[in-house]
Amino acid sequence: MDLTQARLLFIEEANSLLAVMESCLLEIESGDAEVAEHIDAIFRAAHTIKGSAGMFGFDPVVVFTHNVESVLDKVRSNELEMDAALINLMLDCQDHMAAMIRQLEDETVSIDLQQGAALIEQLHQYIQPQTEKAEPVKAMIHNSPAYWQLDIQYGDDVFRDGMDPLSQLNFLQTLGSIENVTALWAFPDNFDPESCYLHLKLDFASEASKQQIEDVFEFVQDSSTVVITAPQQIEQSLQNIPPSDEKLGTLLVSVGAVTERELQSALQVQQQLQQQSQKVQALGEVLVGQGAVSADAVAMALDKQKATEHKRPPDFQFLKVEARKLDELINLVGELVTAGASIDSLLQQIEHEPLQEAFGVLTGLLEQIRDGALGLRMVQVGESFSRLRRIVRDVSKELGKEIELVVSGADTELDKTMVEKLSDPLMHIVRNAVDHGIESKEMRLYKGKPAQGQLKLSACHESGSVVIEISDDGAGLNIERIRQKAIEKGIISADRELGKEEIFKLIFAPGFSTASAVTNLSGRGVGMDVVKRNIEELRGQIQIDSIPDKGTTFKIRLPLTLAIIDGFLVRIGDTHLVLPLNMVQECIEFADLHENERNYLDLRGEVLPFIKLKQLFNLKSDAKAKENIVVVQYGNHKAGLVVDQLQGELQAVIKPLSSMFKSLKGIGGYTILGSGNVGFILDIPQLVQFASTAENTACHPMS
Amino acid sequence: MKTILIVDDSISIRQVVGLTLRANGYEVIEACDGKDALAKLTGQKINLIISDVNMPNMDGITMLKEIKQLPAYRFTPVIMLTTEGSEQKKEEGKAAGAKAWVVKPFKPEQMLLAVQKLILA
Amino acid sequence: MPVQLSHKADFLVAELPAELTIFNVREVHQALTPFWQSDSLKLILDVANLEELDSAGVQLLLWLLSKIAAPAQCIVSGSDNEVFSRVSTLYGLHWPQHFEQ
Repeated sequence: MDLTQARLLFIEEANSLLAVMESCLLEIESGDAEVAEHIDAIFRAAHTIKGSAGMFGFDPVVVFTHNVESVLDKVRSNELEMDAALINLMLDCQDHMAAMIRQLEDETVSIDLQQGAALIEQLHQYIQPQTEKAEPVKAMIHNSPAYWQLDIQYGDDVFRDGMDPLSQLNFLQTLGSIENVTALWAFPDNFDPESCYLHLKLDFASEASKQQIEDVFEFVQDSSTVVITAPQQIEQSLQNIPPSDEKLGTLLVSVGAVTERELQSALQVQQQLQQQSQKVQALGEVLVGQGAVSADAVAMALDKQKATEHKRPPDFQFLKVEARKLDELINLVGELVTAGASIDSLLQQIEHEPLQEAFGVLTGLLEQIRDGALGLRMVQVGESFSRLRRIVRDVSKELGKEIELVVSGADTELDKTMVEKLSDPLMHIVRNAVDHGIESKEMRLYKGKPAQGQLKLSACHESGSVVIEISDDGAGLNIERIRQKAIEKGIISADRELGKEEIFKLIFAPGFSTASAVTNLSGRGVGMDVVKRNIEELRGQIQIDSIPDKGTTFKIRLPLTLAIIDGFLVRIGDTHLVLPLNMVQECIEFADLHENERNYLDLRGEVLPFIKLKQLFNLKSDAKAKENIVVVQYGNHKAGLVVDQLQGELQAVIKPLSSMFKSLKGIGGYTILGSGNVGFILDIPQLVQFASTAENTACHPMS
Repeated sequence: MKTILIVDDSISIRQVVGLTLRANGYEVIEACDGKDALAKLTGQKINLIISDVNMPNMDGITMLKEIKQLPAYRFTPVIMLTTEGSEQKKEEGKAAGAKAWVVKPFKPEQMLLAVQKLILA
Repeated sequence: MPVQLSHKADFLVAELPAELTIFNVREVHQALTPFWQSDSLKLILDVANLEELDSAGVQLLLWLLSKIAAPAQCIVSGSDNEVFSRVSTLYGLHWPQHFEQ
């Protein structure tokens, strides 16, 4: 662990705190939560970011966040009300903070400084005008070494408080040299070894300022009496300063004769005197009259600041692990599974039952380790959902629409990589739904719908995959308009008869956009085709269902993880192919079925389209070999894949195909089999889609 | 070698403080909250405890009160990490036995100085 | 046993433990209590084993010394101990030295 890594850790931490801040603010805004419930978490997010940023010297972040924190603090202490305007401001600040954090990561990110300044200006309106704190001017006078006199009467409790005068003596030596130490003690008859009776007098030669010396004893100030007498030289310069000078205190501090603590205390006394007698007394007089300043006076001065209390935030117990380590582990687990498979195939050959049994146990454990390791990468989809909440809010606000967002199943778990990669497509779909799907308030009322539109986001597990649904109660897709548009854009020919579902699919075609007016919200250069491609890259599938005036539903089906699948191994000639097991329905001998010239067959009264993989992939195979058909299902579609030989189940570590083969359709990746051979992992969704459309269109090779 | 326990729920604070102190010859034990810290105090010698106040599971002040009940740590010095303006917390902390404090945000070297004022290297 | 006690001629030899700090000063104090009440106590403080010594420990030693009637009746042995000499220097303390016969 070095500082660079700690810095990365900070960025990660800050980002997750910002996310907490955002989701809490949004929940308050939507009325899902009371201010009191979340204000502590919001405050703490800002507070922690400020704290950590300070440690790394990210001063702009500290300064900005400090202002945010101050306002939040006032909300916490009920001095300020968290109204809509303030929530808005806080969300803008959250955005700005996020931008600053992004810049730490990526220097090319530019920050709108004007906006930052404007935000601070707005924040200041919430913070009462404060008297400016006098910044001590850096010492300009270089003191020649001289003896300071230190007199420390330690308090009874010093030892019990864990304080050790020895460490102070030791520390003093870093500032100068101790010329003379006299330890005095006065032990009473009832000597208590845990009480402190020490009294130290020191002659100290140092060029340090009085403040620096005093600071050495800062932790015993409360319990002990520390009197520091400046060397004569400095005392003299103190007396030469005219008492009327406004900046007297600053000067005194800069020459090192008076510490900030003494100054503050003197200022207070001066103020008090002024209030009582209406008589203005010079600061210098007060200081001289006061001599050494007691700790009580300091405490009183500091008491002006309002005490604040931090409550515990709703954060959870997590162990942060570097993603790289996790990936390495998962990779190794993958290799382990592969190695296991190769031992398994060897064991099959030697037929040694006890060995096979023992290995069976090992395999069971391996599976558990695999699931456990993959589970480590699982995160809740809710993380992306909360980002969507922000988009719904911002977009609906901009368009003047009222939209309620209903989220369910936010705790559904999904591979972290997928959650990350899902964020963009989800954002796009949601944006579209708010922008085009849900009608304007007037239109909704005209149609007899409630003025407030509804957007539902849900996630759930469904037979080994995760299904995410985004549905709105808007206008629904206009079938005729989509068709017209597709014809206009030359995506389909005018005479094509298409079913409802096929028409919906057209919106995923490249270059298709239904918005009659491109608003600045949707026009981000990303079309639905990109959304579809993103989902498919995750080995997922997207479906649309829409009813006019009732709304549109996008259904995204995703595998749980990307790394390893339970597969079903088949063979054509000497080519090995792997099918994801969860999509395999059944296997039938091909010869048993009646084949007609079109590529479908009758499966117990059901029409089943099929593909001869041999032809599709142009593979050589033993012509005499008996063929089998594997029935696969994806979504609501079934298809048959014709292969030579069924070889059984296996676990396959998915390796992506090199970019050279990216254009290859029907193959999603490859895996190394236990035997050392390469097995190609079939992209079932693509194949199923191909099989079912092949029935309708002229059969053409996949391109 | 002197051993320091740092208790903070912010991993980055723990890391940076830990890094600084280790680089200066201290041994550092980390805990992420009061509960964790108590679990890690198993009688071994600890020369100094640095603790945040606001933490999940168990806050710094509750933790401190418990630590002061443990014979092996009843006189162990404690640095509380406080915030500007949280005077009441600071007073509570002092009452519970934390006589030293460092105000957040702080720079690593500030923390090192505070440590050096409390324990002999 | 906080302090190892033995007799050497008419001296009481108190061998201090490795640690003399706020955590055990009370114990050590109590262990020595029966002896310091006698006026004729002649004490050899053996500090050779010290590995850790804080101000509370120093104070206890100072207190012991203050309890001995005449300075000659107390001798500090093993004062070249690294920890002990460092602490003594910081405090500017000079202890009655022990000269082997």
